[in-house]
This record gives sequence, C-alpha cells and structure tokens, in this order.
Amino acid sequence: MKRYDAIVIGAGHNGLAAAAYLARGGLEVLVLERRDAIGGAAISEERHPGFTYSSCSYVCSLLRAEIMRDLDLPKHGLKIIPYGTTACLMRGGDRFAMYPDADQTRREIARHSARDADAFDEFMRDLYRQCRAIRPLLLKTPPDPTSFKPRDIKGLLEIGRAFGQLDEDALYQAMQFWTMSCGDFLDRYFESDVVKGALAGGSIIGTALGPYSPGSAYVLLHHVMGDLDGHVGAWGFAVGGMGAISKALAGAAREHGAEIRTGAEVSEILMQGDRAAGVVLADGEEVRARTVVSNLDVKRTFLKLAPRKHLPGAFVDQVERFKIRGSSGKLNIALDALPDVPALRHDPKLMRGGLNVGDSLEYLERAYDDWKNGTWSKKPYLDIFIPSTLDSSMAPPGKHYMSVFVQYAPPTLADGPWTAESRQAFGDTVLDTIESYMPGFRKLVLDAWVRTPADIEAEVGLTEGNIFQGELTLDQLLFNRPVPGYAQYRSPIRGFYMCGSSTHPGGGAMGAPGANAAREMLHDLKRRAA
Amino acid sequence: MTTGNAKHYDAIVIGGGHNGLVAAALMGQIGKRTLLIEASAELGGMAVHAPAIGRLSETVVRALALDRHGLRFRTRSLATEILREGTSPLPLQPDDPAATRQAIHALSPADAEAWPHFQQRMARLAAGLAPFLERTPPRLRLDDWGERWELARLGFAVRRMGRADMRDLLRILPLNVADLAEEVFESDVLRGLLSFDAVLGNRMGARSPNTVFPLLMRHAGGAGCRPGTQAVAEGGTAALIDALRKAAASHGVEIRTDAPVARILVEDGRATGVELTDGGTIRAGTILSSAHAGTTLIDLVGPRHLDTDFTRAVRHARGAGVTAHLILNLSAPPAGGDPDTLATTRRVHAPSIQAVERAFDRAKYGELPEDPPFEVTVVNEGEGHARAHALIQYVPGDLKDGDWKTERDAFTKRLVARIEDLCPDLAGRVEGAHLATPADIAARHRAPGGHWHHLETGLDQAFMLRPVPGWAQYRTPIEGLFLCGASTHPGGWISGQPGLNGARAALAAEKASGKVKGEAA
Repeated sequence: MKRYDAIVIGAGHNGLAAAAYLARGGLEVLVLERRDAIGGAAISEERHPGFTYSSCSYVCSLLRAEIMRDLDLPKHGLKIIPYGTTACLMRGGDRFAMYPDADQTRREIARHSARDADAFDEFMRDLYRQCRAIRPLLLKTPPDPTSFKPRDIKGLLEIGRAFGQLDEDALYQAMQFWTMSCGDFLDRYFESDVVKGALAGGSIIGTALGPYSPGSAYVLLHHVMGDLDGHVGAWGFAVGGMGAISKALAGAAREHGAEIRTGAEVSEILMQGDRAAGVVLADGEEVRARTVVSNLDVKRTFLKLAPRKHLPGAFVDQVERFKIRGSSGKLNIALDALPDVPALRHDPKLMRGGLNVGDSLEYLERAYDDWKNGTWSKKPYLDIFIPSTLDSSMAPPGKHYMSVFVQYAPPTLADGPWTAESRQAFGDTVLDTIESYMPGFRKLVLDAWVRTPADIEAEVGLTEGNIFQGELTLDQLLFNRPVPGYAQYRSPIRGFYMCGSSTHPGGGAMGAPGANAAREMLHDLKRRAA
Repeated sequence: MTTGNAKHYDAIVIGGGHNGLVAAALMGQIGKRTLLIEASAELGGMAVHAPAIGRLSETVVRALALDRHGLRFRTRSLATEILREGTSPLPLQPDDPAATRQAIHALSPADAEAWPHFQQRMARLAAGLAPFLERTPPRLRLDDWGERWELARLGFAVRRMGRADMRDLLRILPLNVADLAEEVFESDVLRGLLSFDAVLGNRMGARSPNTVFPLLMRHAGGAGCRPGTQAVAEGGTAALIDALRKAAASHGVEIRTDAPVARILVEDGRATGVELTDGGTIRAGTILSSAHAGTTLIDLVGPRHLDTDFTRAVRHARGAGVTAHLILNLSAPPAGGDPDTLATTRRVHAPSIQAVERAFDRAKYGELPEDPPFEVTVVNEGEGHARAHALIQYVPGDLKDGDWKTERDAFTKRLVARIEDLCPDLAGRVEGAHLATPADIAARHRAPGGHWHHLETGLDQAFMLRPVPGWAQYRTPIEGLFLCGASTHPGGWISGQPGLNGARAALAAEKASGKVKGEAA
C-alpha cells in the first residue's frame, strides 16, 4: 500500500497552500477534502442559475505576495483586481467615500470635517508604520518566549529587530496598538462620526468585539496590513470569485505532484505507537503517511478528530478554552439589475467598490451589544460588494451578484438554536437595512441565500462559523495562537501538525499559516531523515 | 500680592492626597525644605472615595514608619459578602478557608474546589507582575544600554516564574475577565464577583479584553495583605491620611491647605515655582504634582510651554470615570452581628457577568443603569454613628438625556432603596445620602473625567504608557516638574507608589544635574 509523506486534511486555502509547499519541497502529498468541492471558505459556487457566488469569503487583500510568487499563482489562473473605493452609506442619505487617491479622499473627508482631513495623513502614516513592523512576522513561526532553544531565542531577536527599527515613539504606539480599542485609537485623530465609523469597520469584521473593546485596534491592523499590488491596505477581488484562489493553489499543488481527493472525509487519525501514521476515512479506508496536517480549526481537529487518549489533559483544556466565536453572517444575493443608491448617484464608479453600512462608532457598538445579548444586530454593520460590476462572469448579462457580509450574528440565539424562521427574520433585517439605503432594492432580489454562523459551521465546518478559526485577540495571537506552547504548528502528537487559520498569523485568506506549517514539517522531516 | 518675605523652598508638592503626602514626606526626610499645598480645606484628595486601602506599598509604610505615626489596621484581609436576592449573603473569609469552602460548597461543589486554587494561581501570577508594579518603568530606547538592561531584567523576572506560570500570565493578561471567570467557576455569583473586582474604577465591562490585568493588580497585594484582599485602616482611609500628614510634619514638611494653585511658573523651560489663585507666588527648584496629569500639564503649565504632540497625548489619555461614591449616614450601626466586623467586610452586589455587562452597556452611552453593581462597606464611627460607603460601578459623568441636576435625587433614592433591599440590616437607618458622581469628583478634585484612578488602568495606559507614552518616568517636558499622582505608574488603588517613585525621580534628577553643574564648575 502506498505511503505518503504527508496527508493534508481539508482543502481550504491554507491546506492547499501547505500541500503546494510540501509538494514543492519534494514530498508525496495527498489532500483529503470532505466536501465535493475544494476551497473550504474560499469557494465559488453556482447556487442560483447563471450566478457565481463567493459563498463565504468575498474579498482578498491579505494573500501574501511571497506565496503568490513562490507558487506562481498567476500562472494557475489567479488574477486579482484591486478595487479601490469604499463608500460608507449614511443614515440621512449622504455618504463618505475613500479613494485610492489620497487627495480625493482628503477632499471627501473635508466635506465632513476639515480638521479630520488634516489628521488623515498622520493617521495613515501611523497605521502603515505599524503594518510594516508586523508584516515580516506573518510568514515567521512564532518563537516560544519561555524556551531557551537557539531557534526560539533567534526568533525573539528577530521580532525585537523588526520592532527595533521603529523609533521610541513608534514602539509605544505599537504597544498601544496591540492593547487599545479601535474606537479610542480613532478618537485620537478624528472628530467626525462617519469618518470614525467608516474606518472602524475593519476592526469588527469577523470578530466578537465591539469597536470600543480593547484589542480591536489590532483587528483593524489585521485588515489593513495587506499589500496587494504594492498598495498597502488595498483590497482586491479575485476574478471568478474567491474559489479562484483555491483553484490556483490546487493547480500549484498538483503541478508539484500533490494528489487532491474530494468527497473523502477523514474520520480518525491512524496512530502507530505515539506517532500519527495516517488517517482512516469515513468509508473505512486507511491511508498511511509519515506526517498528517490538519487545516481544520483547532477545536474540530483536537476535540473531534485527534485521538483524545494521545493528548495531554491540559492541552485539551486549553483547546476547549480557545475562543472561536461566531459573530458574522453572510447573504449572497442574485439581483435582477444594479440597485439604485441615491447617495452614490454622483459617482457611479463607487458601485464597483465596497459599500458599508455603519456610519458611526456608536452604530457599530450597538450592533455589538445585540450580539452580546444573543441576537443578531437589529441595525447590522454590512460590508457589501457587487463583484459582477468588476467581473461580468459572475452574473448573467444585465444582472448582478451582491455579496453582503453581516456583523454581528451569534452562533446560537439567546432563546435557542437558529431555526428556519429566525434565519428568515435575520435575512429580512439585512434586506430591509439595505432597502433603506437603496430604495427599490428588495424588488430586484431574485435569490437571497441567507447564511447564519450555524449554517457556515454546518457546511464549511468552521466551528461556530468563525471566519478566522479563532478570535484575533492578544491572548490568542503570536505565541499564544492557538495554544501557548503549541504555536509552532506542531501538536502534542508526533507527526501531527496544524495549518489552519487557528494558527499564527490567523485568518483572512493569507495562506500564511499553510506556508508556515509546511516549512516546519519540512524542517522536521529533514531532521528525521538526517 | 507677592510673598516677598516668603521662605525659599527646595520643593513644592501640589496636592494633599495620599500620593502628594508620600512624596512630600520623602522629600522632607531627605532634608529638602518642602511645602505641600492643597487646594481644598482638607487633606486626603481622592483617597476619601476609597474606604479600603487596596494596595498600600510596604516600602512606603516602612520608609515613612507609618506605624509610628499611628497607622493601625482594622484588618489586612477584608472579607467579602456576596449579596444575594432573597437569600442570605455568601461570606468569603480569607482568614477562614474552611468556612469559605463550606459556604461556596452549598452553591457549587466544583467552585468550592476551584476557589482556593484560583486564589493561589492569581497570587502566583500577580507576584510575577510585582516587579513591574514597584519600579519606575524603563523607556524603550533600544540604543540605550541602561534601558536595555532594565528591560532585560524585567524579562528575566518574568522568565523566573517558570514556564507554566509564564505562559499562563502571557495568555490571561490581555484576556477579558468574563472569559476567565467562565473558565474557572460555574456559579453566576462568583463569576459576577470576579467581574466586579476586575472592572471597579474603570470604564470597562466584564467582556472588555484586558480586564484580567486590573484584577491581577488587585491580587498583587500590598500593606502586608493576604494576596487578593485589601486592608482597612483603623479609622478608615482618613486615618491613613492622618498618619501620612504626621510623617510629613515630622520631617519638617510645611502644609498649607485652602491654597489652590493657579499656575506653575515656567521660565526657560524650567519650573521655578507656583502662583496661587490669590496671586501669591512661591518659588522652588523642584515641583512635584500629585494632581491629575491633564490638570498639571494643560491647566497649570499650559500648552504654550509644551509641544503639540505631547499636549495632544495628554489630552487623549483616557480618564472618563464611571464609578460613583455614595455615602450613607446611618442613624445607628446595623443591628445584629458584631459592630467590629462591619468594617472588615465589604458587601458586593454583582449577581452575574451579564448584570455587570448590562450596566456597562448603559453607561457607555451616557445612560443610567437599571441595577448597577456596587460594593458597600460600613464603618462604625462610634457613639452610635455609622456610615456606609458604596462604590457604584457604571455611573456616567455626563448623561445623554437630562443632567445631574434633575436626575440626582431620583437616582440616589433608587440606589438607597436597592441597597436597603439587599442589605436588610441597613433598612430604615439611612438618614442621609450623598452621591458623588464622576462629574462631582472631577470638579471637586480637579481631575478631568472624575476617574477613580485618574486615568483608566487598561494595558494601553499601563507601565511605560502611563500617563503618556515616553513620559512614564515621573518627569515632564518641563525641567524640575515631576508627576507623582495616580495618573502615573502604577496608578490608583491607594498604593502610595506613584508618590514614592515620583519623589525618587525628582531626587535622582537633582543629583544628576548637580553632577553636571559640578563637572562644569
């Protein structure tokens, strides 16, 4: 029977990235995917005839340029179009737009506050300075601060050096950035509600924090540290939807010789003594391998898949404590025509960018309060994007596909699990909210596919439907992610690794966890061979 | 009016709160001719709003021999009673683990097991933090070997905790207290208590990240307390102030009350004295201010002497308080029970995480909470008189609708009724109630925002970042002017440490400049 060098469980983008790097490193790799399609949460599906939905994740900014290059993803069909503008739709009919051109943005801010226009440059400068310090850490394995191993000490020194390039002021700012709330951070620069509200969106997406929760400033950073096409913080759209990223990664993996099997659910890890030796599939088939790596989130991996008796009790406790909180929903909507947005009539190009609902910090904070009380936000924050305005293949001619990301929605409601009725009510809340900014919108809806966190968990397998496979709070970042002492992609079981977004540096379709995990696995295999 | 005949002082300390007194006493002790000026008629400052002395530094107690100046402790292990609706309170007695265990056992056997372990864990982790809390924070000048050495020492202190505790500390330090409470306990009231203890004084909810940090600070102890508890002075906090006053006086410190400072005199970037509101000026080479950082630098020094970035940083330091102090005058000490044990027990109403969080959610929008969490301590003042101090968590300084003029009476009445409801032994004995809202505290103590700790004690305003980044060493951009109040590291909770560290910084600076002058000469 064939024995692989590595089995990757789960063909999400990180699993595929890991597979591609492992195969490129000369290993025989098999990827096993439970569903019939690859991609996990980075997937394009035709759910309504003629429409391609980016069912889960919908934009791309964090995919590391290094991975694009290493794996030659453009060759495998990946094309990313930057979408430059973001417009925040305001109650009362106005809007606040941000453009790729800083002058234009400054003019737009000045419409709301002349003082804020002056503060904007300083804000961006401070933000980018922090991004530049953090970015080199994304593709590094977090060092263990409690270890005296040369590798860990070297890693700590590297972090020290990355931050050592900052001057004293920037270092303090870094300390604050990692600990303060986005709201407090923005209050330092700006006075206008809408400017703050629009900028704070990135601090709450996918996160069970409000804009005034300490720690949310980092989440903002996490969302702007992308550097698509040389533009820091630029967001982009993958032609063909987010599935195109998975397809390109799979293409790269296959090119290097990896096998990918879909419809192959792993039911347990095969052990040989205290080592992982392969997997058993749901149909009973055993597949052997020298190493196994899981792209599933850390709870699913260790509480449902890995053999409990091979795990130390303290480790299991910590995995149970790891916070994976569902806080986001998604609507995929097929539209008969492009909706009319009165606030954007003056500049129709804005329809091709991001459209946000949530025009003040208080709006966002109140949306969060609803989540804390076990219900979906009655006035939700929405991140709307109409991919068909950039890519005509996403919808039939004249028609449009709209992706609506909704913050906040709880994984279960205060009065029990989600039901068909509550899902419907949640969808109506979102559609009505959109209608209030786009009169006549509801009449254009051909199909609205409403997904609660529970739906996302059921379909994609993400625990609680959390898009980052775990909260991005300081207690769960760097050497704490996912569990202190196990932040280096290894697990307590020899030969068994993790490569999902539960590991450093977290989610956001970066591919970095996959690439980092592959590097650690190759390192171990080389040592074993030597 | 000028005070031409005035004495010349070496040092002037602004503010007669506990930190100002500590700083003045230390300066006097070293032989500096020191004047302490207090704006109001009485000493004590914001310490009057704290019935217990949470973290009084042992070093301060020893350095100033406060026992010789009359400081006695009523208790060094303040007990807690968790108030419960319709049933008897749950007593937690640090001095009697068996009784505590039994009390919790009736609620949850698992929690009874978990309680002592949790206390020990917090004490261990707090001990890891202790070196940070006592020292003057270093600066992040990585090119400076002295600062590097200090950073390395602190890093080493944490590493010495051992791997398991260090990992634990690094994980829970930024955690929110609700998550920690849910990990450790299953009963709502213990989770609520933990949440309350973590957020008291701060504008944070139980679910706000970084709330385990202030909880750990509480567990760092002080005044020889059992970790996790607090001390109460015989005679209340006023007695501590009195002991400090005596200590200062014994070292020749002059104290002047009713002397509000109008401004700090600055010449060529150097502080040279103060001008009082009555027009009099007093000169000294060193000025120490225990007043709020914003008051000191923006109001008393003034932006024209400071660069804009610094001014902005000071203005943006977060200090909007949400803790109110309610004083109840009781016609008689509560009936039943030993009157002596009253002051050694605090009663806490914080029935669950949700109760704390709900109250926070209202206050963050400037609304009054329906059933705010609180802590009550009864002090028996003798001769049949007693007073209850209640700290009410989440009372906004500015109300979104209406203002305090119209809301005060109704809100005070509501609080009193709730307290009487939960503490039947106080019912019918409340003769008068006085509510100090954050707005009142701000006005009375010239502390903008009226924050119980001057400034929020979140991780983003702690250690090297307190009161503002780059200026955590008690000095200011004005030569000769130092901060020594709760705005500086390690903050509030009546530790006296800011006063101690501030005085030390002033003395060190004096020494250094003396050296430079000596060399020049």
